[in-house]
Amino acid sequence: MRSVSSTKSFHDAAAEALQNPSLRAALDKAGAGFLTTRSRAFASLENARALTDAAQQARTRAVDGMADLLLLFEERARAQGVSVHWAETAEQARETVLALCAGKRRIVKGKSMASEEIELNKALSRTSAEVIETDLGEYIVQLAEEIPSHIIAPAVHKTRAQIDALFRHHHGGKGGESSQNRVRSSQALVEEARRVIRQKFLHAEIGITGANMLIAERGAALLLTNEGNGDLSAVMAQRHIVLAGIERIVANDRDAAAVLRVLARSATGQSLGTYVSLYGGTGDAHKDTHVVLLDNGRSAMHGGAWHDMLRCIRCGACLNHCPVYTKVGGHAYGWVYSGPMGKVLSPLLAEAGTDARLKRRVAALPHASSFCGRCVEVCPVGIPLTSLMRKLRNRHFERPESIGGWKTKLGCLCLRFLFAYPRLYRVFLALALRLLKTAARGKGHVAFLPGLGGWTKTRDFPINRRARSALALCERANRNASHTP
Amino acid sequence: MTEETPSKVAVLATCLADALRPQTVLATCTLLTRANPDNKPPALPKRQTCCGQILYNAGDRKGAALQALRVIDLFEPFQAVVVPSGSCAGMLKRHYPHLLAGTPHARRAEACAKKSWELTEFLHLHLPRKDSSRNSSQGSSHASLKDPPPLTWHDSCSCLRECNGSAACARSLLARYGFRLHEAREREVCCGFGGKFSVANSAVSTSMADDKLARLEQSGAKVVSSCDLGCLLHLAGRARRRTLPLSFFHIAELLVEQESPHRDALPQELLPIGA
Amino acid sequence: MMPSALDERRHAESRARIIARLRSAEKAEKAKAGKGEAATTSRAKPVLLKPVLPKFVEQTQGRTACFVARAEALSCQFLTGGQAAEKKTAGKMATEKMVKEKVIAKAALGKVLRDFFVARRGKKAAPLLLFDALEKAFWERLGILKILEGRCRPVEMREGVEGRDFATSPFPAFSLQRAVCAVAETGTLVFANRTRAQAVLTFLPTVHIVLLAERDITGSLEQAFARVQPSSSRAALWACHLVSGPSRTADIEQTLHMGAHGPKELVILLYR
Repeated sequence: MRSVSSTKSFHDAAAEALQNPSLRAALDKAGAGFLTTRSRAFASLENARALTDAAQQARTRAVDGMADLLLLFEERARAQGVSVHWAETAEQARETVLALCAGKRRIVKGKSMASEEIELNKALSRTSAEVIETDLGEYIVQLAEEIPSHIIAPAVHKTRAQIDALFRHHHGGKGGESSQNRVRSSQALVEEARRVIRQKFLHAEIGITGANMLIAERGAALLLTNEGNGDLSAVMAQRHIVLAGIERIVANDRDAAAVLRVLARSATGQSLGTYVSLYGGTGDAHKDTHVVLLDNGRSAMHGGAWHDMLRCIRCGACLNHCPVYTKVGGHAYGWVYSGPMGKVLSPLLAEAGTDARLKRRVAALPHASSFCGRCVEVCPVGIPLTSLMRKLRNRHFERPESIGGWKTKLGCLCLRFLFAYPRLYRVFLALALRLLKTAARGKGHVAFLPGLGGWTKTRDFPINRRARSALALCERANRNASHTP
Repeated sequence: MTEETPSKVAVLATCLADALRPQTVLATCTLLTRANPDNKPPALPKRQTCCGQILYNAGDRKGAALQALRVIDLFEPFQAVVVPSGSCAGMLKRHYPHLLAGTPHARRAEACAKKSWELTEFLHLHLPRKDSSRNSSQGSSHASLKDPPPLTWHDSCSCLRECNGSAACARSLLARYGFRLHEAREREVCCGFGGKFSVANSAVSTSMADDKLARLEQSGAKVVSSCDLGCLLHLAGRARRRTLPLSFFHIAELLVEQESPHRDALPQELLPIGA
Repeated sequence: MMPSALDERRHAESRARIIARLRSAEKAEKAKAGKGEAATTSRAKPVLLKPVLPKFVEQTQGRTACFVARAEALSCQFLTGGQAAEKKTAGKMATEKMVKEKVIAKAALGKVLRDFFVARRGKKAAPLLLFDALEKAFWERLGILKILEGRCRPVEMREGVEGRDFATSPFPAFSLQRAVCAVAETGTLVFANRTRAQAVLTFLPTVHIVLLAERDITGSLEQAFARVQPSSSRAALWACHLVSGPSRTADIEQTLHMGAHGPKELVILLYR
């Protein structure tokens, strides 16, 4: 996986991403569209707030009662002839899916973040099977040997020219020399992908998809797509494997409907995705369906400080509205989950796993936020993302794991000390202001400040020309006033 | 608003303004004196340092809670705490109750939150409209009212999302003082300051500042104002490094400047931030 | 490969551990709440008795009009009494007359469908028309299969039909399918498929032609879900599909294109 280096921190990866002109072009192009479609979708509703409240309640019910609902789901699904498998770790989930695919060679996949999370494709590619991602975005990312950079628009970081080049390379020499230089229209690219992937669907032996929800009372997996690729994966192959995180559970149809009403609106501005499918039944002798329930750290989040994060419906609204995400794209986040939800989810899930490098890479993510709060504003299920990031920062503070963490801790302890002794603080401040003024040499700013190199590398640091704090100035004014009545 | 103006008002200067921009604090005191029914200046408690936000955002929850308690103690005797910064006001209003929830001080934190005001919210309610005749109809034709420079406004995230109403209050105050506002696009997008974020994630923060500056420039105005000194320092520092022709003032400074007589359009004695 | 990975006992153990973790967390939370400590998370509010619907659903008087308008906004085409509806009037609320025109008398269905195929006739051989073998009697009663003779080549979809059977078929192909119901709220068609072969009708062809009775248009998503309860249907349900417009993608530079993998066109025959 080329675009995620194994060790690079968010800081370095982000700085690199900012220097990448084609990434900037792709992100700029996508950015505004997401925002307008979403706001239009909600603006056309008179009771948008009531709808998001209903969705939040549905998710809260689901997450709070997860244990019972999961058992109910299993019971109902089994009764309808669906096999249910439980996987505690990524490894166990991989093994289960590999075992279900044993002996089969042609696998088609619908979009599934859970499968990205457990790096299923990597595991499957070590077998003799051919795995094809069928969601257009995922397909592009697969051809480029990358990971998705957005949870709902995986190839948002790719320009049309890059996609055209990828297709030319992988689909064989179509088009003569003359057309080599011209970038094909996106319509033509969609057509070509349709033609190529259609053949894969027709010969597929196994279809693997994710699930947007698992409806407990119905014992069915709910899948939402726009392209129809998830459904073709599920329908065309004889065996359908659904891979879903345990927190995808919802209680019943009514709760599912409440979530559906906000899911597509938040994601793409549609009132409902093009295809909403419920899988979980028998009736066809030529078909078997398996659901793999993935824990991988989720149950550890339950009930504690991170409980709220389990409500996430993966709509991507927080990514689209995040000023940091829209600048650097998803790959800088070092894992499959990006944006504000990734800043919270990645460190928590990585903790449960065994990949130490991943753990280190995503540990600093909660610090990469300006706390602007826009993600909280747009989250349709009311996840307090900034509070969760603060809590994660708090945990780093309590148990620093890096040099940066220790530095922060030391800085905070110094500040605590100064704040506890206001007189000392004043003395210290007066001294610092005097020094700053000297350093500025008659100007209103300094161009370099030791200890604040991050700031002064790109910005001047405005100083206080009077070299006295406001409180000191007021005190002096009061003293003068009382001396000269 | 019929709400009675509190007489015992104190100012939380905020550590940034106190240290780096005393003009903002002095202007805040001047405005609050004007807003006081007896023309009494507000208190500026000497033992104040910081609201604790820097600790809170760095993850030092305990340190922040300790600091919150100190601030609550310090401002206990007053009826209102006015803060010339959206993020610090947000800290008092939103985060103190959260920080001290479940402790014996929860009630006091709630009380402190209730009496805390972002400056423009307070002024909007309590600054007397003695100038209304002058400003509304005859407007700039009046001799004593200067022709203010075209202005653009930066909504800080904390003003927008933690002190709801502040955005409207600031705009109505500016209008009352005769400022013509040239609104920038995408005002709800963060400028990239975020305290420690601006230092630790310098590249992203700077890139966000550049986007914001481009939009501010596009508004056509040369003067930028805001309620938050943090954002202003960050933007001014970046604009200065890139030698952009923008100058930055805190809203309190502009309002005071606008009312003091015999000056030209642009404040002369009052230097822009960083100049 | 690894037969142990599918071992029942191993999965039961995993399940037990996952559920135990969830339960212990629940218990810890309850204990904490009991002590009066501040809850770190927002807890469940009382269960709502009534679903919250978008306001327009409660207000809508004409379900048919609402459905037609929303389906057209999603690029669905309606066949009218005369011939194939020209390009859709996207987004515009359907006026009463426009709606009336789109509701076809049951007796006229065959003729409308024939006109559609006449209008679509290309130079190539007659296109495939996929339909459900279980519904053959229904289509025959309507006389549709007879009326289409020569216009297209009907293919019965039955259990056991595999994708590779179509590997050499000429696309575009058409499919004819009956919708269980529709949702006015979102302009969505609902299909309850008992077999995989039926589901192929929904997703594989290039043009998906759907027959929908006006009386089957429901108001909200909840009502539609209620119509496809696994228990309420006579035969066991394999899957149900809610379809809102033709297949689409915006994965390349966020520009919208129809016909990503599923049908490029969704044609609705609304009848009373």
